[in-house]
Order: sequence, then C-alpha cells, then structure tokens
Amino acid sequence: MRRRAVIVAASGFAVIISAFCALAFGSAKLSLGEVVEGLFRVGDGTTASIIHAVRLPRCLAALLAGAGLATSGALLQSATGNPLAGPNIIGVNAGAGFSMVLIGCLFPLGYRLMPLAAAVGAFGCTALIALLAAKAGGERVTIVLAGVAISTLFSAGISMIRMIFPDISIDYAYFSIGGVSGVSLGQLAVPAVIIFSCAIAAFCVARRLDLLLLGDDAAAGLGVRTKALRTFALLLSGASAAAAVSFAGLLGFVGLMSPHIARRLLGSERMRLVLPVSLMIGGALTVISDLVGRVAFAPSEVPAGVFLAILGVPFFLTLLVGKRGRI
Amino acid sequence: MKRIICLLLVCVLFCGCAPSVEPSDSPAPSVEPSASPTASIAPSDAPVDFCVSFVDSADNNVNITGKPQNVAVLFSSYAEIWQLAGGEVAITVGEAVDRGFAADTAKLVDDSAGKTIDTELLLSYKPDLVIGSADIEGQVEAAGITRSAGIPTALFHVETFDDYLKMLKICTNITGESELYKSNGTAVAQEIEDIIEGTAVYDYRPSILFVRAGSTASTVKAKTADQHFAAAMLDELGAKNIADAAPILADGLSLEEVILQDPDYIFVTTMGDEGAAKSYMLELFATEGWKDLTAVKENRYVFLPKDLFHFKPNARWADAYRYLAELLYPDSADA
Repeated sequence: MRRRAVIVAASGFAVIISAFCALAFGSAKLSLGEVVEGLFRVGDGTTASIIHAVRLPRCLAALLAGAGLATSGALLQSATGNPLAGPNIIGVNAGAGFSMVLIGCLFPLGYRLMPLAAAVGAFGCTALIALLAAKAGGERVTIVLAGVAISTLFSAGISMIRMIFPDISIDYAYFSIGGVSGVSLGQLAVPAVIIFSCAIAAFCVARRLDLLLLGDDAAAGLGVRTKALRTFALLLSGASAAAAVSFAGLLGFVGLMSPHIARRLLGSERMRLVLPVSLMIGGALTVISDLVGRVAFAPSEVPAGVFLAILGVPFFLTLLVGKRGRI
Repeated sequence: MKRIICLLLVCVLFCGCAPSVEPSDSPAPSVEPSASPTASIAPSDAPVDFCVSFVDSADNNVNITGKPQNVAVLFSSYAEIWQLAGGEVAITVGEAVDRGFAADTAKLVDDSAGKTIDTELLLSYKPDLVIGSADIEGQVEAAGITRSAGIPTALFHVETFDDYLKMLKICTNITGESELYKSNGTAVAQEIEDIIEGTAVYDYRPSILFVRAGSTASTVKAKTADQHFAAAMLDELGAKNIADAAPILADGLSLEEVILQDPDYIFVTTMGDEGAAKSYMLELFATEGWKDLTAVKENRYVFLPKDLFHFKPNARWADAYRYLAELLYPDSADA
C-alpha cells in the first residue's frame, strides 16, 4: 500500500518535473530567472512572448492530450479486457481523420471548425461502434470487431477524399502525426473540461470496471450491468480521446502505453489506482516527447507524435516479447 | 519487349550521328541537354530528316526522330514552356487548359493538375512525344509505360530559372524555334542578371522568413533556398533567410527561433485553398508571439502572388525577381 502511494506521488512529481523542463528548455537559451520573469510578463518582451506563445501553451496542451488519451486507453483496456486496446480501435483516429478531411475539402474556409470536426468525428465514430457493438450483444470481442470494421470504412473514406482532393493530404499528413505546435491557450479550455469530466466519471465507475475483469457472468452476479457499463466506458473513452485529438491530432501510442506502465509500476489492475497514475504518466510522457521534439534538432522541431512513436514502438515490442505473444 | 529494345537501339544509332549542342548561354546544367535539331545522316533505305537526342532530368536518353505533331504535356507549367518554345499542346491535363496553355479542344488525360494520369487514355491518343514532370509520381509511372510503348518521353525537373532555361533550350531544339529561346530565355536571363546586379549595391542584407502556409498551424512551414524556388530567388537577391540557421529540418523552424531572430520581412506562399491559407495566416499574425514581430507590426509581410510564385513564372521570371527586389530594397523601385 505504501509502495503504491509512493508511485502515485512519483507520478505527480514526474508531471511537475516534466512541466518545469518544458518551460525551462527550448531552442532559445533562457536562464531560470528569465523564464520566471517571462511567465509573469516582467522584463524582456521577447522572453514573455516565448513563454506565453510557445512554451506554456504547448506544455499545457501536451499534459492535457496525454492525460486525455491515457484516460481513454485505461478505460478501453478495462472495458474490453484487451491489453492492446487504444483509442484507435474505437475509431477515434479514423473518425477524426475522416471528419477533418471532409470539412477540409467541403469548406476550405472553415478551418476554424477543424478542431470541432475532429472531435465530433472521433466521438461520432465511437458512438457508432458502441451502438453496433450493443446491437451485436455488447460482448468484448464485438466492440473490437465493430471497431475494426468501422475504422476500415472511415479509413477508406479518407483515402478516397485524399485521392480526389490531393491538397488536403498535406493537412492530413501533419494531423495524423500528432503534435501540439501552434496550440493556443484559448483552444484548451473546452477540451480540458471534457477530459477532466471524463476522468472523474471514469474514477466514479472504476470499482465496477474492476469487476468486469472477473468475467461478465461473475460481474453480473455481483450486480453489475455489464453491457451498459461497457457502453458507458466506451463513450467516456471516446469523448476523452476526441477532446485530445481536437487540438493535438492523432498522437499515437500514449493511450496504449500509459495504462500498461501504470499497471506494471503499481503491480495492480485496480482502476482507482491505474486511472490517475496512467493519466499523469500519459501527460508527462507527452510533455517530454514534445520537449525532445523541440530541443533535439533546435532551432527546428519535430512533432511530439514522432517521439511518442519512437518511445512507443519499443515498448509495444517489449510487451509483445515479454508476454511471449500471449497478449 | 525485344522489339522495343531493338527499335530504341536503332534510334540511338541513327541519332548518335547528330552533333550534340550544349546551350552555351545557360549555366552548368544538372541535366545534360545535348539536344540538336539538326538533320542526321541516315542510311538511304531509312531516311530520317529530323533527329533530336538529349538526356532528361530523370537521366533517360530521349531520341526523337521525326518532328512531333501530337505532343502530350502532362504538367501545366511545362505546357506553358512548350508553348513558349513554339510548340502546340495536343494532349494535356485540366489545369493546363484552365491556365490557358492548351486549347479547350486539347485531349485530357487528367482533369486536374496531373497527379494521376490515365495512361490507357494517353496511349489511345497516340502521342509522338510525351513531356512530364520528374517530380510527380503519377507522371513518372506514366512515363515508364509510354517509354515501353516506344513513345519518346521526357521528364523534366524545373525548380529554378536555370532549370527553366535548360528545358526551354531542349524544347526550342525540338520545335526548331531558336529565336524563341533568345526572346523567352537569354533575354530574360540578361534582365535577371541586371536586377541582381542592381541589388548588389546595397550594403545591408534584410533578414527574412519565408513560409509556405496552408490553413492549419502544422502546415505553416519555413522554407530555405533549397526547398522553394522563391526562397532561392530571395537568396540570390541578398536576403538572409533565418531558416538557414537550422542545419536540418529547416521547415520545422520553431516559433521560438522566429521570435528570437525577429526577421525584417515575412514572405508567404500559400498551398491548398489560397483564401483559406491567407485568412488563417492573417489570424495567426494577430496571435501572441507573431503579433510582436517587427515584420508584422510594420506590415512587412507579403503574400506572394500565385501566378509568379506558386506556379513557376516561366517567361516572367524577370518580373518575379523584380517584384522581390522592389520589396527587399524599396529604393530600387525608384532607381
């Protein structure tokens, strides 16, 4: 118990340290004093611009995106009993991407609608999958199968639109990598409310989600309405990921990775512990990925999604090898 | 296949006798336009009164025996060059017709910019020369097919004025309109030389940020002279591009660096929907970080006209150089 408390505290500490580093480091060499001055808008205007236009919004956006995707991943893995479940299997990527390219080609001047379009597309696709899965019996495997089918359909739609309107491919290419470059503080308010609401709601149903691990029959015997709970978890997961995707694009692997790291560190499957720890780990990982992307090739930068993938693939393979293919 | 190879070998043998002519007034070429429109000595049983051979930008030997009468040009900018060389475009893509470089009656093998080519349709139109872009995958694929079918096919890469000059030389060699090479090529080269020389008198180098912008944050990308012809022109005119500070991945130049370097001018070229990109950039210039830049505060940002800087300006290269020179050195406009 004490070890778990230490891990929760250490995760919180990781968030603070990563956020501090994100504010302190970048392509401009600033002293700690200058960073603090910039934060409070005293002293050099250039420093204040760098902190308020670049580092602070990106740090908060990365924290929020990582937290949202980690929440989504933790919920999905719990609801489907599938350790490889991530937001992509409930159509978040395909739905957001399809919606984005559709709006891009139909209303080129509607670029302000892009974040909303991405979120609506992601959540709409998840809702469709949840509906189909519920109609097909609401079993774990039906969610995955419905997800694969619907995602394939929307992906085909993306390919078709990109072929007809090749100019949209450039926007989609950057969106699909994922990153928080160019994010402003104003863009984060609504997604922040959605992500934290989802996290709180998930925390409230965490104990019942734990019972799903016993199997549907056992959980039902303990009074859990398994199908309704699974659908609810699916929708929460979709909403959380959709909010993250709206401003950060399709950041890969953080939704898959963070809950696994949390479970391994905690040595527990209990959602009340896994959820907050994976949320903090997701946030910290995304902030670090964005920071590495900003400083590794300074003054140029690489989107956070690239470094998340570089971290994520070895993790995925380790998981695969560690479980000897039994995942 | 053997027949085609044999046919090509015969063509090479016939064309090999034609003298290769290097365009003496063009800079050192990356492609070797050893084209010659002169008649070659042909065996009496196979008279050939016209033979042009050259190496295209994709390093393919192109041999043209017989003056082309049914030419397919798969890229709108090259359709303009072919026209400037005195040629007529019979088969092309929708964009070339829209831009006025081919007649409305021209046969189309793609409705838009030529990113995908209907090769079956192209072959059915029986072109006797195909000109395409070495930079567009769909056209490179189509070129492989037309070449296999024994149709002379040339792929070009035109990024700078020198590239344009080389292509124009080859095209005028094919059409035999050497006067057009002088009026649309060497005369323009002289004009450009004068413009560049005119800017050399200034003892300062304005710093610039050159961006190519779409309508999302992630599509606003800095470009260097190696990455965009207009940035190369600015470089020739003495501007100091702040993206040159990035040893690699210059198009990912961070906003932090832009704020630090605070460029004198920002040049924007758009991609995708022009209106959306302009509107997005204007909104971006009003946000924290951008709005405090000197170039933004003093309205020294420019959306470059699409006809000169999105498409290659071709015969208007000198106009494009002059446009940039007058922006960088406002005094030069009065001179």
